[in-house]
Amino acid sequence: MLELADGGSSSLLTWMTFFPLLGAVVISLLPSRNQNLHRWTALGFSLVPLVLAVKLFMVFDRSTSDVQLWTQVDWIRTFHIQYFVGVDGISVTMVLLTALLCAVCVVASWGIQRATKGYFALFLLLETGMMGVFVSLDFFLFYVFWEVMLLPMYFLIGVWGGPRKEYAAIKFFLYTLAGSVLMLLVMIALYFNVNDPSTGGHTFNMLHMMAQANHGEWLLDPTIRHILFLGLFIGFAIKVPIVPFHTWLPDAHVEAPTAVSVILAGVLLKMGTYGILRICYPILPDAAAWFAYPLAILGAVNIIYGAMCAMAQTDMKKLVAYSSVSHMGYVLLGMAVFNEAGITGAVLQMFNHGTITAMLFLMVGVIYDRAHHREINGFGGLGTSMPKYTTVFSLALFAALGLPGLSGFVGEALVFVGAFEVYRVVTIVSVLGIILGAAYVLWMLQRVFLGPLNEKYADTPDINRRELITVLPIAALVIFLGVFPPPIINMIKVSLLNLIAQIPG
Amino acid sequence: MISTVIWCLFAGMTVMAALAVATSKNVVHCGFGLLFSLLGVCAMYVFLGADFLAATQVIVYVGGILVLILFGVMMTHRITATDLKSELVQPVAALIAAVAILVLSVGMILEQVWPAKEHLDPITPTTHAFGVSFLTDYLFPFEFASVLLLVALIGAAMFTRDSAGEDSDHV
Amino acid sequence: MNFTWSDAAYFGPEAVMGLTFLLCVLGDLVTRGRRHVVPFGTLLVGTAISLVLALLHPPVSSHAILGQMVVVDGFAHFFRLLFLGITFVTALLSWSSREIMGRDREHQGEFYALAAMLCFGMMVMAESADIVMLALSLEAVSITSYILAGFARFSFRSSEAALKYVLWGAVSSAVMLYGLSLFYGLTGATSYEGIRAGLSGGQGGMALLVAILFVMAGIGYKISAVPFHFWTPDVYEGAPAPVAAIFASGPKIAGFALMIRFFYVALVQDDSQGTLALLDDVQWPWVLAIISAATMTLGNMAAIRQNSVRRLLAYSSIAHVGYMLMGFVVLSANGLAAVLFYLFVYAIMTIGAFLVVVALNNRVSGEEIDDYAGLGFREPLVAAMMFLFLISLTGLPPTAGFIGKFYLFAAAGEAGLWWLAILGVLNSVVSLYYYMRIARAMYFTPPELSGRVGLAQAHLILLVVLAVPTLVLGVFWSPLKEFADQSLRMLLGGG
Repeated sequence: MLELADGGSSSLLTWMTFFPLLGAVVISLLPSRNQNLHRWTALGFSLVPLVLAVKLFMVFDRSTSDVQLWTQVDWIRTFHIQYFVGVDGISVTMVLLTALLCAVCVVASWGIQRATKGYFALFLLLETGMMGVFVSLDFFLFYVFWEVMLLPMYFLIGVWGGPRKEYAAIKFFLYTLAGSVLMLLVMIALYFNVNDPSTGGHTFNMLHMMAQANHGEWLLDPTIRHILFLGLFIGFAIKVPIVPFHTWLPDAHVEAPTAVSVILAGVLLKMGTYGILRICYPILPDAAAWFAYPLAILGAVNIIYGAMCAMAQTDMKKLVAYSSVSHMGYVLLGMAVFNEAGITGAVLQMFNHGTITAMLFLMVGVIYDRAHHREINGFGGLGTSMPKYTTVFSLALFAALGLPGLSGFVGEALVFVGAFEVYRVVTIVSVLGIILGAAYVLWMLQRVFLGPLNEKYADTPDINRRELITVLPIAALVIFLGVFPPPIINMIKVSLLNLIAQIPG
Repeated sequence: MISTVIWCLFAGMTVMAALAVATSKNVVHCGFGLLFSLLGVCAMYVFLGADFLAATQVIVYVGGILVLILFGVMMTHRITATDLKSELVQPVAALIAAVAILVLSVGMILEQVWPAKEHLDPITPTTHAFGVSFLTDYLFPFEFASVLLLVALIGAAMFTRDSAGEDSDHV
Repeated sequence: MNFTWSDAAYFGPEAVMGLTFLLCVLGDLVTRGRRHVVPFGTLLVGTAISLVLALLHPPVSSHAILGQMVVVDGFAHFFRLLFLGITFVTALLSWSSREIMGRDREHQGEFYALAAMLCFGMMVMAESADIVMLALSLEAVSITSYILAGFARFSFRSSEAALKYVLWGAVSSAVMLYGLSLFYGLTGATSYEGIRAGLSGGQGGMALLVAILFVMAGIGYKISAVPFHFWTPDVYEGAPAPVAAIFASGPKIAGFALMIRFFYVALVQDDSQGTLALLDDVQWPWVLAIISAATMTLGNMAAIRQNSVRRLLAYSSIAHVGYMLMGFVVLSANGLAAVLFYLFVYAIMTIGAFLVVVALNNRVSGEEIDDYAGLGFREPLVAAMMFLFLISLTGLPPTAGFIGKFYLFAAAGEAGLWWLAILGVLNSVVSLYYYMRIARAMYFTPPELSGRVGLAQAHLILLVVLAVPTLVLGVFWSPLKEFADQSLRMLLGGG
């Protein structure tokens, strides 16, 4: 059961959430000609949450599973809707990740030429939506942020995207909305069947929903609980995306501009798994236990299927996109086992995948800006013409394949350790994913960077300073957390232990 | 007994005439069919003791509207020769709807026990009562209907008045 | 005989609108139809006075007036404010529309007179407490609508629209009148209260079912529910755009008001526990649930295939009727409050969307979706507001449309009608697709022409006026919800 920390009230999270929105408003009021003004304003407004995130990292109490830094204000009293935000160990890493990646992506978007005003305004609006999802503790509020985030994403893909942008944008929008409307219905069902212990009325408060004693009679029926779990799960599964709901992902990732792909893979996918951890598990723990085995199998399917699809790609960005599907499979597998190693590994992997995949997409963006194509077979020997670029990209690729010493390894290892105790066969099959991962990564490395130099790209300029600024902080983080993961693990551990304690054997 | 037979005759006339309106291709025939149909309805009213309604039916519909229609038809050039009927559209849907309504209505008439009176009182004039009602309890509906007629009048004037802008606008 | 002067106090706003109609006609006659500003000004002033009167004297209890023909209560109050608002906005919108006020047009004066009459008729529709008034007020609104539909009488499409409208209208009116006569035959009463008293004895049976079905045909036509919706796209497309904006909001909402009052006063009883129950033998919820499901599904499916913005909006308005019926069938105060809330929001966003069509129609030649290409770059403000109305129609936060749909789904869920709620949300997803086709044209397609479109100042101001509540009610909607709840209290009895 989750409780509010005493005296933990704070407006920090509200600032982090709404400061970007303020930025969006400011940018939309600026004159539309001066593109640099838009860029610097956006950077300013996205750096503030990053600074606040550092503060959050400092003040976060790692010894408790309670909700910290919360704010609770009545919003619509007649329908028991509150503005209720706060963080605990499950959400704090996601908040940090969002703040970091958004600031990085504003820098990565420096090269956008078309309608910069709209681009940066929408980008900041997107940041507000994502931040809001991770801090909301009122289901209604959560849903509003969840949907609000779709609109800027639709435009960012649709206006600034690649050749098939229109198709990708509407597909993304339709898929996610289809999932979220199911969530809406489950939310309504929960609202009418959960009692607020203090007032006796209905409630959207997630903490009340998590306390099983508040569940009404209708909610006690196991069949109904399983249906509700499934409704929520499908909504989140589309976002993760879990095979077979993944088909929007390659389209959206490939067509989106670089920075948006980073956000898509780095943050948006995490919302799915975060939703499962935040909502499905604690509110319906018995149903979670009941679905554990199918979930583990889905995780294994994601790992293998994603990796195999990645192997078959000739487009670098598509390869990276499918590798995301595969990597999210590790998260799912870890979540399906309710032991410390598994679930810690899963949340750690959520964070690490966010950073690693961000690097990958940024690197693909760099070469695309120069060559205007992403065909893996269209390059060769770039190692000689672009040495710095090759170094950074290789680092990202090695992190992605889970090389020990880099952050990707820690999460995956923990997941396998945890899962092996519970589902041996599934785990053994999943480990094949590592081999497949190594195969597609190394194969790509070889075809792009090694071998004879493709003369066409002999004069391509190496990675420049701005691009290095975007990628080096993340690279540092990847190496640091690979060597020394406790800063993250300590933040999440207590909350996760508390979570798995809720789930029946 | 005899009244039932007469009633049936009138009812038959109403229905047959209405059918003729619906099926005939000649406008003049349609007009005359309508005449008999409306007269048949008038007879129904008489049977029900609704003297005022019956009189209104004759004066307004038969005497007024129908004569206007027939005048219109006859004075319009060659309209009798034109084929006014359009093709039968969507016969299946229409058939289903018609059959459904028929089944429902017949079922209802057979099944329902109506709380209305079995035998009518000897015919008493209703005109006086109508007049009183219109100006007391039903004053508002009465006035409202008169405003409604004004609207209809405006509409009729709008649609039929010849205009200078006639050929300036064909969107 | 029970007419008193105090009736006039309750009936003030309606009386003013009736008077406004006559004055508009008179004003047009006196100026020989040359100074359109006279009827236009009369309408605006009349509507404003009526609005002020209504706001100054909100009914505190239920009053049956004018020989028990109409009831003025909170419910009526809610709707008359809505109708007056719609009339005011659409009058302003028509004034700067080429289709109504263009140089080559005629009868502009009559247009405003008819708008006044329409408003008057709609207000009475929401207040009728007797089947005589029900039929009369419905007929008044219908006849006025026929004339408005054919307003551009030398346009082939407008005439066709008017003719279609009349034919469908006549048939459904006749069917409805027959149904109403069955109610009279069953109960011997014409007032809603009398019908309920007469039916409480359990007189129902098949005749009652037929009566309800037939009355539904008349109302279904007015609100354009499936299968009485065929006229809608043609009429919305053929009629001048401002008229289509009125049709999509006003008469449809009035139809809902009339339906709610008739069904809930005549066929439902309140068992003093605050829960509503049907009279014996009355079976309408399942009939309406099926109509609701069919309406939203068919409306959305048909909308997908449209290339004309106006036809698309027409079909989408049919789908919205389906959503709203969902709140109507659940037999609860919450369901009805959700319908009222949604009607209010629906009026704002629909008029807003049509206003964009009107505004562009003055400048851009076509009304196909492709004609909106690049609008987001040529007219960023208008496109942004159009987008706002579109996502509100889809039902995405943070817009008023989301809150409205949320309450409807919540009402259906609370009543256990989960199948209908699931169908409703899936339909929302479908609707996203076709609304976003417009957004796609506006933002994703490069414009064929560059430079601003140049829209009437009045339209821009009106757009902002409509966009603000669409957004604000999506974030803070308590006042409207409370107003809707309060408006229903007198209708449903109890507290």
